Amino acid sequence: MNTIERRQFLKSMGIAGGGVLLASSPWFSAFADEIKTVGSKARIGIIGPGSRGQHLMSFLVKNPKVEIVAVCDVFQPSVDEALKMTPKAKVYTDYKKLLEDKNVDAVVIATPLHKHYHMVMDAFDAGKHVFCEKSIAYSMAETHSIYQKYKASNRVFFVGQQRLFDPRYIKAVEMVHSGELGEISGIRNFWHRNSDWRREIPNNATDKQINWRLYKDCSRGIMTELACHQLQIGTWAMQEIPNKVMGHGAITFWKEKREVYDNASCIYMFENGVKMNFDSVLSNKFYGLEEQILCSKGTIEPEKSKYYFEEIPAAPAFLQMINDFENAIFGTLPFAGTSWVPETANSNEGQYILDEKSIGDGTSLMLAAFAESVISGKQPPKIAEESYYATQLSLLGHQAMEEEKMLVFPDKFKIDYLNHKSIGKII
Amino acid sequence: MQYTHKSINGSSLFYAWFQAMHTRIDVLMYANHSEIILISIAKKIKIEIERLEKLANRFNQNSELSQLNSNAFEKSMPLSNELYQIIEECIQYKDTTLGFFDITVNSANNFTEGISNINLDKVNQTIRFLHPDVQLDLSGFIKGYALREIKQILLNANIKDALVNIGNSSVLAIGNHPHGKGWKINSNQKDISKECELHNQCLTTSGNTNNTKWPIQKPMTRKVIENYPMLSVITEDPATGEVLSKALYTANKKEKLEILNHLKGQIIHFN
Repeated sequence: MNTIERRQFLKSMGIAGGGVLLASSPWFSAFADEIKTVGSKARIGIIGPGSRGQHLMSFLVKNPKVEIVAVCDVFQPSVDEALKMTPKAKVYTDYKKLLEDKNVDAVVIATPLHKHYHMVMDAFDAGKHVFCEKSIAYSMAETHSIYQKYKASNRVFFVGQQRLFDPRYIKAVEMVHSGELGEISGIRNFWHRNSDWRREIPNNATDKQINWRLYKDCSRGIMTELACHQLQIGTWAMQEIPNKVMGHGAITFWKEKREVYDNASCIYMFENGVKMNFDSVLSNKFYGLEEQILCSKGTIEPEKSKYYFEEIPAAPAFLQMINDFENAIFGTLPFAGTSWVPETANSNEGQYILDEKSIGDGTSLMLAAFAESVISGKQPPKIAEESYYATQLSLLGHQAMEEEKMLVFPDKFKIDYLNHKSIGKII
Repeated sequence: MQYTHKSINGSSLFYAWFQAMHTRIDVLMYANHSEIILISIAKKIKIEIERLEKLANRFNQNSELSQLNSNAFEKSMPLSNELYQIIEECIQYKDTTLGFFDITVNSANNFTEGISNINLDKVNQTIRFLHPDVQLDLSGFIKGYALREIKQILLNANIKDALVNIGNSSVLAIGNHPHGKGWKINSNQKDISKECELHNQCLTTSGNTNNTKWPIQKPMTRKVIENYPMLSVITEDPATGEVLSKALYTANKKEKLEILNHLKGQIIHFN
């Protein structure tokens, strides 16, 4: 997506160029200098160009402001695939050597979770800007150290929480913050699949290299791979960090060669008693995934891109007019007809959050924002903090399941964000 | 009542919606008023509509109208000033619409002589039915009357630009759209050529569809009209629009012209 297309798209959603977008999604300030940065390039090194890394690269190579100058992996097939996209990139097998490369401004880290910590810390030490795939790290202590390192680094730090850039989610949260759906009463997140997550192992690889998500010492499973995305929606919508969590996890169906849960439930509690649930079952995919934000006047389902009012729905024609208001459009209201009767509205099918067809899941915009930030050297507000708590809440939920206890968010891992205050200064 | 509010450059665009009169109500206001003031105006409108429902809903046993329908054959029934005036106005429409608008159209046993069997006493402000089958039905009038009252509420609150919709069939447009002159309204089909512009006017639509719970009948024969396309009228007064749209829907071409000689309105065909 180029600059003009991006601007046009955001404008068509009614969230570009105004205070509304920046109020609910301040990280979009990354695009503030995008006209000035035309002609500049963010020189990026990819650490871990496996399947996820290649997916990220597929967006980066289309961005004229990005040059992928290096790739690093010990697994040659991944390097070969990466070079098909970026043939001129320098190849490394040791990420520390890549970090020494003066031609690299920033790194994209898409390695297994347990490898993030040292790579991110070393990258900041080497003066690089960092984009790290979610979750940030394997433990709460590591995640906290990374955040402290970032704050002291004067470098840009992004995490792969792409919902922060997904137009459906941006608009959904904007609607919640506007109050038009009333007060948030609860948040129900679920992410169900019917698969064991197992990938085929090539001849020259080990199971752990490929299926690291299934090993306890590499991953926290469902929580760090799935919940991380959804819990972030809760804090974004509530503008608050939940203080307690309890949960239970088990291996119930996929019992072979698996160390992480395939069945997990957590309940997070906010100060006012509102609860955020997370449920995941990996042996049934009927309900798929969704983040249901339950409000006193309506419900919003950003993944479906729909919202539903509790009583009669708003008239689409009138809502369209409200949306057109900012764009100075003198539109027609197409509603005249014979009497509307409630019998015709027995099923509440909801309204679409966006009129426009969505342009993907936000990954493209997120990476474009990262490139802009690398070039400008400016960290957009709140994006690191939203990502920080997405990881920490996932990890705390995992710990609650492991210990089968209700856990309070530890003071030592609090940072200055929303209702949390850090207990110490960053060195 | 639910609402949404958007403020730009000191002006507010406020939209509230709720269910009443067995249909949906949409109230859109564009003004320099604060959100709190606009909420209070919308609430006032809702209260007014609920008040009128209690006055004139024939399905509500406790409404004043239901009390008349139950007792006015047995004895003279005192009327509130407002209901007296409404009934008096509606009886007059019987003549001006050549009998095509008749508030006794739903009398029992297909009785067709309802209006001539009503004794309205102006001095004592009472009503008496002279035949046991007479029943009054104000549902073909009350939405327009409600819009007339709402218009006054809006003007009293210094709202100069507004759009009020009762069930899609009765629309009141005051002043202008935030970005244009008047208000452009269309039927559900998005065909620009069929749109109409309202300038301090009302658009009232009548027609029988599969969803119509109480279909329009021709008062003289009590026959339900089928297969007629819906008909809309633009009028200055919303209550007149309500009367006209019902009357014109069942009248033939010649009768339509004659009715329009008595009551001012412009016919619109959306389909």
